[in-house]
Amino acid sequence: MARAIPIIRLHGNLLVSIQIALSDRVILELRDDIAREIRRYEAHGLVVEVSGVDLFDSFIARSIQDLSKMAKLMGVRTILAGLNAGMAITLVEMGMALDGVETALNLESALEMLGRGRVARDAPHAPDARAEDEDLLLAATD
Amino acid sequence: MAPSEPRADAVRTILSYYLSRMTAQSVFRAALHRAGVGETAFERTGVDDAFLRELRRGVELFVHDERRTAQCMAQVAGLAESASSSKPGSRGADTGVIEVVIQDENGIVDARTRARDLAAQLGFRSTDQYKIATAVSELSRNIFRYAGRGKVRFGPVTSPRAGIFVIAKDDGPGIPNLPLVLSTAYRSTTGLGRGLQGCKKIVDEFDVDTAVGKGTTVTLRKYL
Repeated sequence: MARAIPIIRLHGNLLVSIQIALSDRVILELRDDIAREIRRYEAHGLVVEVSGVDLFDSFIARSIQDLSKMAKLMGVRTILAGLNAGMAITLVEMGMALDGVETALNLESALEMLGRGRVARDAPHAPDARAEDEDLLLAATD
Repeated sequence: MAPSEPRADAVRTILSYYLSRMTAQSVFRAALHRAGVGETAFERTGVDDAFLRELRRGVELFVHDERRTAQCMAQVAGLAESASSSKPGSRGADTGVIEVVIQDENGIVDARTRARDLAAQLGFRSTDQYKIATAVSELSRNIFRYAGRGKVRFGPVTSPRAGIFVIAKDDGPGIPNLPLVLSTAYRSTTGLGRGLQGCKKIVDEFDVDTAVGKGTTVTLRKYL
């Protein structure tokens, strides 16, 4: 199937940047495609970047929410990035706060969030170990 | 069109609410000049896109208030609408009333895109453009999902204040229990009921006329 929206693989994460006016069919196709890609690439995280979307109405908001729930069930953390002020205000006033969806201001901070999450998962004791080293060092100098 | 009230005078009258008479006159003349239209020709061509663009520049120079500029521009754009409705085939279509037939998903995207363009043209600020486009998207989708087919119309309003109207009309099944659908407790399986509630919250006036088996008409307005 020819994909309207490319899904990019980046450092173990999937990156989807939506640059078109989302029709209902496209967003449902996107959801299915993402589910397939998550399985195929065993992704850790998913960034949905929406700065190029024309707007966020109730259906799109709900679809993104469902998408993030689905990804979570597959063990993947989803971050929605690039919502602009107009979209955010409209969503809040309409009473659709995208509950349970993590957000980031832009793509860069979204990837940073996922990156940090991964480092923590790969080496969970690293900061503690360093603290212990420092304690030892302090003890030695005493 | 009867020249009882010349177009140039109508524009000058609107401008003089916002500017001194002298400034209004020079802003108007400059806009005509830059749009490449003579005053006599203007009586024939009327308010078009080029003229509006040039006029906005002038108004912005002297009215140091975004909201008042937008209001003024919407009123002048409104002249094009009233002219086009009395004169078929005129060039007022760009600032006049737009009608989009909703019979497939593309209609939803088309309607909201054009609504947003019109809102921008009327001088709505960015956030309000999103709200208007979002409202149109919700109403169009409801038409498509529940009635299968219908129409969305939108265009400028000038009274009581400058703004935009949207009318979404279908001959579908109607909404059996409107108060319930509009109450915050309601959640449809598709999430679409929330769309109608949400729509109400982001506009200034909202009205639903519906009867089972007789279709639904949603009318809304948002002012500048």
